[in-house]
Amino acid sequence: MGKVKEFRFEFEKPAPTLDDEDEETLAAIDEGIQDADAGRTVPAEEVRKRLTEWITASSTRKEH
Amino acid sequence: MDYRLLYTQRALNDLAEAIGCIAEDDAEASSRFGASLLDHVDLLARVPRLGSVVRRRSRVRKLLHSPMLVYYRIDEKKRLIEILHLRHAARVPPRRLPRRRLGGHSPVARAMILLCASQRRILRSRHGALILAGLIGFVCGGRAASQPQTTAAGAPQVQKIDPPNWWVGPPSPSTCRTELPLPIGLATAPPLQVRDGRLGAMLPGRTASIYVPL
Repeated sequence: MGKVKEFRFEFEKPAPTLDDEDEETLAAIDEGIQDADAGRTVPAEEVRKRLTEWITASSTRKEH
Repeated sequence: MDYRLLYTQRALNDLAEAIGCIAEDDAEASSRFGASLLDHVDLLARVPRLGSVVRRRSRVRKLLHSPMLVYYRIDEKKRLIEILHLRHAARVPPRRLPRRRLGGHSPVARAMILLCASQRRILRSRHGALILAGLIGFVCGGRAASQPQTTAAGAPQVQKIDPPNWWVGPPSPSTCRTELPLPIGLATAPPLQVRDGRLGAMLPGRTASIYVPL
């Protein structure tokens, strides 16, 4: 006789991870949510452009 | 159809800070890491449920791009992925700092460590952050006046400390770091002068990172 399955996978409802976020992380997430709700967002393509700027700025600052 | 990917201002600040930190030591490594992180995040446009659910924020998911955690949410109606926050996965909250680590440090260092570990609530407000910065300036000013500053070869090790979570990580804390919220309208080249410390990554009109040696 076949073995009864003890559980089944629900791909649409993944199990939450066990490690909890601390209060600071949750506050930062909430800040991000507020930004998103207020429309303070930037497209991913724009972020790639800014990446180069940040690196250049930080490298330049170090030289000084 | 792919989802559209948006970064919130908070996530941008986090990313700029992380990239800036790495770039100060190695611009090439910073470029590589930044590109790989963005590539990984781009995957969410095709596989939105790649990340695991955050237990205490059920609509938020997190994706690990070691050592960074990327927090995001999915807007099914608008077909959007919104990147909310990026965080170093190895951060240790102050309450987990063992007391025994305070031994072996100078009284000033011990005071700074305890100060850092207790500032979470204060730093939640802008005024609190400014008050704390003033306190740090006072402490560091006194220290600078009483003893010569150690050189770069004197082995201060940079520890990653970010508000609102001032904390010092293992193994030998020697540098405190914080972000100060800059007044709105303060653009580049701010009139910020850091005594006995240095100005790190800065986002004009948003925040400035300040490193203070212990």
